[in-house]
Amino acid sequence: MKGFNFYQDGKQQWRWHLKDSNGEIVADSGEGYEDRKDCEKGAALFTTLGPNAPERKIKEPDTSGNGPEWEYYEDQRGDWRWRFQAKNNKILADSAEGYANEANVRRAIQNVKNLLQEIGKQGANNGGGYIPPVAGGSTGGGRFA
Amino acid sequence: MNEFDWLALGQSSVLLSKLEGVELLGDWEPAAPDKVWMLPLRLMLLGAEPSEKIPVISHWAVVINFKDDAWGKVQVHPSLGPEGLSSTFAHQQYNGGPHPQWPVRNGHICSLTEMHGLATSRNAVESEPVFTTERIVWHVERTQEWLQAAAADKLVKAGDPFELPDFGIFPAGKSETLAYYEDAISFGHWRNSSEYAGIASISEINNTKVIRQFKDRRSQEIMYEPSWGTYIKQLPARQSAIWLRLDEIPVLNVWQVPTTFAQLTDVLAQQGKKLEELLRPLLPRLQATGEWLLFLGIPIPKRVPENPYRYHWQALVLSPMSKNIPLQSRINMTLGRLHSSSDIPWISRGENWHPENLQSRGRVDSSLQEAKVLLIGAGALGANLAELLVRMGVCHLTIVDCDQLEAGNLVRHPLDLAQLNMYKAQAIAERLNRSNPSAQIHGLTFSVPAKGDLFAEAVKSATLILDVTASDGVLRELPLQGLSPQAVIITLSLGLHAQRLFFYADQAVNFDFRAFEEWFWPFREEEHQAAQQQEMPRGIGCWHPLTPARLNRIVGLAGVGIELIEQVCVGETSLPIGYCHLWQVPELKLILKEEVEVA
Repeated sequence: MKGFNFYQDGKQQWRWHLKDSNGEIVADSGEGYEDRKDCEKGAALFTTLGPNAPERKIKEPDTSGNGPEWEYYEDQRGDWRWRFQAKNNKILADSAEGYANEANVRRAIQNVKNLLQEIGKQGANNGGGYIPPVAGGSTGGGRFA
Repeated sequence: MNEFDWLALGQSSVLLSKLEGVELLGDWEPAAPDKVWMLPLRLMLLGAEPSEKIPVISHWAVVINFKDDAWGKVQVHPSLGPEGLSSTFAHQQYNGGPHPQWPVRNGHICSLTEMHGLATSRNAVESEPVFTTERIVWHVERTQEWLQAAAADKLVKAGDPFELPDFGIFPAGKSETLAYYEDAISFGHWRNSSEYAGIASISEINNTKVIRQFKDRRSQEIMYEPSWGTYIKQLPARQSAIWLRLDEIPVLNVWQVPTTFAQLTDVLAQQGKKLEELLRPLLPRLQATGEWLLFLGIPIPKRVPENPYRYHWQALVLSPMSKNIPLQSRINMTLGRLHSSSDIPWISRGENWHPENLQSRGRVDSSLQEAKVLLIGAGALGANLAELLVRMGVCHLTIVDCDQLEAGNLVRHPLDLAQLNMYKAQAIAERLNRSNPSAQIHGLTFSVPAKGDLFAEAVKSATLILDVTASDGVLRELPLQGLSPQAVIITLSLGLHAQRLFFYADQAVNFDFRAFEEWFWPFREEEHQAAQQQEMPRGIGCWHPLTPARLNRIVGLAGVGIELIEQVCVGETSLPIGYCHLWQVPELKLILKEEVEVA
């Protein structure tokens, strides 16, 4: 279903797929993790950082970035791809497929950004938290415990 | 703590630095033990005028603990040093000193919402974000709101449920519980008394101290004795506590409890209570060995700012366990400590075990709670019914049954192998007396009708007879000799495979077996025909069939039985009444919210 789908690969490593509303895989975790929680945390960070991070065209995958950013590039087969890196050059996500040209890969990035923004605003399974109909203060959390 | 947590903490710093009124005073630093990190902050009071206790600028530390929560448990503490708040407010943990482990003050604010507890059991929606970065930012925003409310004196509003100050002060305190028994009636009793201090005796259940009796200062007259049930009444009691009634909640520094004996002495003096003078004549009356406790009676309201309606008792250790110190020396040491800076070992929890409080999570109507119940039959239905009644507040119950527990009963009876071959009535009574601290349950091993004073007394005092024997012989004996005409008689029995519950009720004065039989006859014939067509379980070496009924249905139908009994007790149903409830096996299919109506 739409959103992050967590699964174990053949080596029992945890990975995720991000699916759009058509059920198409539009991003994946890039690598596998021993611990499911780490895999979830990677997806959480991608959700948090992705929507507002800048995009940068690069010649080939490098480590010159100094903050969260979307990097897109043309691979050796002539396909355009993207990957998302966090502050320390940790790759949090990459494009699950190659695109025919630069315009398409940039459009794909924008679609994923929109999707992440939407997921980030939803309720209990993500970072957004619930804002009750009658808000109590700017957090909307209501009375103190 | 891994690289993802690191990245999340880093991103939280980025977002926090963009918030109005928030300034970072450093970076995330590790704090003992492992997996705990701290971020120092400077917060500006927004949207409210500063007050005497809440300045425009205050320093805080966000503490995140990845050991207790994979996404990080977040707490916001005042900083050590002059810029950290040093008072304790409502919706804040005790803030009287440094935290025992981390370099912050100990009073983290209660930044979570009041719905958090319900949200953890899926009965509300969680407001606290799940992801680490968002969670940290949310708690800091909540802290700013808390500051604003504290400065405007709006942390507690009219109509809020009253909350006690935090007595969980460690390491001096003890993680134990004091159980007491108070309500508005006992409060009226206390208010009519001129005694403000005296001697108390206690019993112990594991780490809980239960107040058994309040006596006057000479330890002669009983001032108040809680209506405990059979289990607590049979526990040994020792006279090792002093009780002291207060007129107000003992707090200083806004909403902080005293933490040293000198502070307590001062706070009580402000209420006109001279602690040393009050204790001096009482201490010699305490049991020489063992821990000496002081119980402080604090008058509390239900809601703010109502008048108090009952006492809350909070305990502290006056003198620890002692074996070899002569009594007079011990008394002198205890009195000497009252003016010292020695830490008070507060017993952290005080719990009101009065049914009004203890059963507030789920109980039957007061008309049923107050009934004097005579339960005839302690088989599967009777025993499960008894368990439900007693746990939900029925305190006066006599169970009559002459059978012993057999292995074959285990499949649907709450008793177990440890009670094999014991009389069910007595074993169930013993078990139920442990299920409710107010319960007075008796088990009589008679078949009905029985002779003897115990049975006659149970019948005479009964206001509700529950017959669950499914025996016509028993029902023909009803109403029993000596039974009040106003008593209600209810008979409950199960159909084959517990597919149906048969319920019939009438007042004792009108009860007639023939009327029951007339109503029940069509059901009985139907049961008979069904029994002839089915293969029934049979006992070994015994030709007659056993009644087939699974425990899940018996328990479910016992639950339905409680609802029906309650309706009769409330008095909104005209009697006699016969009712048949059909057990329905749920059809497992997808159900959407729109298809479900909540009653």
